[in-house]
Amino acid sequence: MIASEARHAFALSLALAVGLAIGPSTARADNGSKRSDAPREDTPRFDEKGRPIEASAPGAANASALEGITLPEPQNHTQPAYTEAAQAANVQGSVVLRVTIDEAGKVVLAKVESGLGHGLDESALAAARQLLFSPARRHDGTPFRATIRYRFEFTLELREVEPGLANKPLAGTEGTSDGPAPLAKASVAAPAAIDIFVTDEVPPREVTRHSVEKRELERIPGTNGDALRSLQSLPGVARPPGLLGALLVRGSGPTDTQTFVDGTFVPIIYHFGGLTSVIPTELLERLDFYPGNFSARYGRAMGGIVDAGLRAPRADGLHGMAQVDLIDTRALLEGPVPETGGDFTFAVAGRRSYVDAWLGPVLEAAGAGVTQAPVYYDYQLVIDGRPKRGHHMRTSFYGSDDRLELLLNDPTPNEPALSGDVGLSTSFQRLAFSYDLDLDGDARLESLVSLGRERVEFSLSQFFFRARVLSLFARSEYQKRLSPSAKMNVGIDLFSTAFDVALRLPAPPRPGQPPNQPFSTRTVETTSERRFAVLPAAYCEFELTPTDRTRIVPGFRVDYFQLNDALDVSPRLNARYVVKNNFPRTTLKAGTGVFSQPPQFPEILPPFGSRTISSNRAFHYSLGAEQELTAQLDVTLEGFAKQLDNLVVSHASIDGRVAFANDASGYAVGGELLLKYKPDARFFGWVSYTLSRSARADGPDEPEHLVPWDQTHILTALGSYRIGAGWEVGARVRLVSGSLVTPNVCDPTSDACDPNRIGALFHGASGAYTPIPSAEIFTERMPLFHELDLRVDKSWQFKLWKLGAYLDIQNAYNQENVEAIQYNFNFTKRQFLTGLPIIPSLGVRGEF
Amino acid sequence: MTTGSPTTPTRAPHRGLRQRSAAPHRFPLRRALLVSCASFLSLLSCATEFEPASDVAGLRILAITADRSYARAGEDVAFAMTVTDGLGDDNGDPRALQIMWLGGCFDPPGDLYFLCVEELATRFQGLGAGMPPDPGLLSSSHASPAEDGVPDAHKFTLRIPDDIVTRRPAPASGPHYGIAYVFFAACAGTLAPAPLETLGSDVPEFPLQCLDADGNPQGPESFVPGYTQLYAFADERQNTNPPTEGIELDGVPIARTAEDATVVLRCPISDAERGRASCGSSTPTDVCVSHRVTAIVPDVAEFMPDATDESGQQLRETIWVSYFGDGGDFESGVKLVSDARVGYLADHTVDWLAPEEPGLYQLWAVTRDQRGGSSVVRGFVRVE
Repeated sequence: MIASEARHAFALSLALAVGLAIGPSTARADNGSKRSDAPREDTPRFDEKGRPIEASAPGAANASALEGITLPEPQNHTQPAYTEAAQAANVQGSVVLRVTIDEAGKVVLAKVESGLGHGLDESALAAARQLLFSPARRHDGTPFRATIRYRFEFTLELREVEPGLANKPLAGTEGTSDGPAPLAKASVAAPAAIDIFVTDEVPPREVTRHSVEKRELERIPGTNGDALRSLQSLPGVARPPGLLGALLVRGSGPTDTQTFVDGTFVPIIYHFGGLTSVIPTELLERLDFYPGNFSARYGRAMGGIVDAGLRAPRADGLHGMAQVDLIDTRALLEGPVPETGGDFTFAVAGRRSYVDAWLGPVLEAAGAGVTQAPVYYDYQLVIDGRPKRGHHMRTSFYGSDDRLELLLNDPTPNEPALSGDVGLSTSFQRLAFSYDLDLDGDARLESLVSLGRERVEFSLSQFFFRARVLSLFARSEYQKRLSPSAKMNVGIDLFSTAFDVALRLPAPPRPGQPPNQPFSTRTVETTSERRFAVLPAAYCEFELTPTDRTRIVPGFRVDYFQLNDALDVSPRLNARYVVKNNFPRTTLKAGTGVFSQPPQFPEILPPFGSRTISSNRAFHYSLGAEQELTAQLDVTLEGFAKQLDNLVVSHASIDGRVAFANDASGYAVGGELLLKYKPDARFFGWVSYTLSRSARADGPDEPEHLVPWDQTHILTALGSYRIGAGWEVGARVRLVSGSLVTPNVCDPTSDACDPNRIGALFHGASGAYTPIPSAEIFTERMPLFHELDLRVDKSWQFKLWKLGAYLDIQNAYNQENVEAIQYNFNFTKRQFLTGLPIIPSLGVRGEF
Repeated sequence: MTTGSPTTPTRAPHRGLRQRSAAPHRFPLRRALLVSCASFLSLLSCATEFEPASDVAGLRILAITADRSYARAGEDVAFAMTVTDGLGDDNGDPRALQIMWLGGCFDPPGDLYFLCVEELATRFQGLGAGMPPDPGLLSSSHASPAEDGVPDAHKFTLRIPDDIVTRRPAPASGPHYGIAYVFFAACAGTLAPAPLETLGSDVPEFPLQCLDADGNPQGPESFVPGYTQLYAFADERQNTNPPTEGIELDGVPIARTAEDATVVLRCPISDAERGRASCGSSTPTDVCVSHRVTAIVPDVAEFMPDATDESGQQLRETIWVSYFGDGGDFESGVKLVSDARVGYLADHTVDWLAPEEPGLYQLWAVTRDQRGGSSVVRGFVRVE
């Protein structure tokens, strides 16, 4: 056989590069789009589109950036195997890896950036993991974690064939770009061959950005490997009650935080009940979370921002993944687009839930006729391309669909008219196109346009709500370095929507307001509206580095809302100051700004709304410090305050309806602590603690009350450890203050509870009972929530594919955490309603 | 309107005299749910259930029926109360009740009843101080034991103001209407004004209390306050009460009088045993006959003006029936009779287990529509 006769050879060319973390003052080798949260050097960095952050030119172009930096030097040589399959197919070329080297010089992460397939990628990865380096060092000699590009070159050379073997002209030979000897050291000595890219630590425009990396996203226990569910483990994020899939950030409400996928706003992020998110983890490169004081780039929100970045599909041949677990099954296929020379890649993925298989029978057993068992889908298509140097384009299409239909024959005593057909379906699609262009003169232009479609349909007995929405979202940002110490980001964005809303519903009560009567017997409003709304905005932001240690980001944003002819001006200012530049680094940070959020459409449109109301407004303040403790361990402490005013709230109207007005105000204050062990070859984990208070007053003369999602203490500790032999184990512990409720029956264990209290009135028109709250609104806190989640992963690496299995156990000791209070029919008794029991989820995953 | 006999029956000992368990009543459907849950979520614990609303174990107002549930401005509307004392006195006989009605709150902002309560408290306090009641707005009477459980036994008439609709501005969308609130209370003792006190935001406690012979406030088993609402529309639309023509037990009409009570066999299972079964375990109720109880309600659901679903289909009013009994156990206390979209549902039957103790028992069926219409029927069952 040819393969057996072939003399394995390869050229090992260390054309390499050094990914360096350099201080703010030397961070000028970036292209302006780089972001990072704290100063850090732990992993490859990517910009908003998931692109690796690289200098535009190798070598000299980055010399200044690298001045004073000692590059990692290989200390050994490892030889990857030239697989028989590759030789048989005459495959040769380069496998380029992205290798992260820790402070000790060990390779802690190796990924294929471009590969050859036929087992050569795996071979190169295996060899790279055995490499040893001298670590990268700062000018003061402090070692730091760096990422380099490392290239193995596989070549097949023509050799003389023995007589009779004329048909086997090719065979592998062993060699390197600089000769047959191992090149590890020699390559470093040849800087001309070094393709330097800088994974620098340009601080973010925001005061705080929490980035969850891919490995963390996939392995956080209790999330079933779902990336967006991992957000609940970050500081500043409250635990949503029950199965409510909501993001509650720093005391803000569920509608106050916006979610973006690749820069495009998406209306929902979770499928039914928050079990899983609408974008699968496999397609994500990163997840950035801004709990407050976010950049002027983001608007129309006064809570936080979540930006999930889709990753670039792999270019090194065709790859796929399939996963099956108890919740859903999913599949992914990716690779280079044929006939494009590898300049374009694609990924296509889809997922379907299994919830209908078990929840449907349970609902039927409960007496519900299940017309459409609960089911969800989501699907994604990404085409990513770099048609030429400095150009990057991406087209993506993704969507989600959730459906449920029931027939409830038995009404409940206190909502007797709510029975019959119950239907709920939500869906959305996004078609997005982005084009990023590096311009001459340290300038860059990023453009995005997205077309969206949304559909929400809900029906219950005589009530229904139907919304069909077409939307256009566009953003263009021009980034220009004005001087070595000043960069300008100026942009416009436009959100435009045409919607068709029809509803037949009672007017919504004020949150926390006691019921007047059963919901189903209230006066019903009917409307059908077709409207067109335009929300243009412009923003400008400067990134100023007046000194080596100081970074100031002033910003300014102007939003216009055509429906109520309102103009919102939002000035913002963020700043960072490096107190100690050497290891262990200390950084102070602070921010303030105005954040406006337009009213919800029902608040501004008939039949319930009014065009006279204006935007909700929040003033964000934050002050914090970041401290390196060890090479792997960082601690961040941050205090925040939000002053809220002009909040939209409903009042009783003399015509019997409700009227909305900007009468409410409030605040949220708190502190966050994050102790994070950055991912290394074995471990990642963090401890986060949030202390907070969030209150509102529903009118100028009305008393202040806490909001139901106010959670005084939120403590999360998690970690995941690679044992070896493909095993990884993890655990997450959560301790969270209980949610707040308005009790209708007093706590019978309380001495102040009067057992003879009349807690409800008989409502003659319906036969139901209307409760009379036994305390001020949102004053009874449910018992402490505590939960342990466990996760075990095992993977097997085969020649051409990889098999993985996991067991994710949510609520491992089956704690009956209280989610709400349940009452008897006439509100004379109460009992706690508990949440999810232990939920083990077993999954199997194969990928090639 | 259908009324039952005013005859005072000799009844079985009241439920309130027996030790009741808060544990759930077990029926096949419920068992199936629990078994399904238990098999899927093996470690899910069993939650305790409350006594069902259909179980009349204390003083209960079963229905407030207006002779017209949509009124016209300026006309008189008669309200009627059906009340029964499931607790009884020491002998098990129904207690004497004081019944009070109070009208006069019209068109509160946002239609919120609790915005009437302060005014209500002022008027109660005035009555307590000896001020004369407003004629036509307040009625206080005593109910004899003979009236216990009798449908629509206690009446009150209210004059709807001429300007109930016009005093409000017409809304930007939707119908122009006015609303009248009528408050009422049934008390196994003596009614007295209570200080206006607010424990929860916006909503004051009900400003009336029910005192026993020693002057102590009584709890919800002896005091039931309430309110009802009456709409008057500018277009003078009307709504007819849905009729309840009778109750059938296993397909046979139940007697309306105690003397002719329908006879069934007792279910020899104590309340404690009925509730003893826990998640997934067998239930002792399998040894008893489950009777099928059906309220006879014709297909009378009216199409509602200007009410269509998302596809443009005209919607009907929703009609449901509530079952009550002072003995035995209903599988489900509320059944849908007519769905807003689907229309009439012929099967609104429920399963009923006879009580353990022999005696005379009452069953009620109250049919309501979502627009405030209602009707009541009572039947008697003798358990042997």
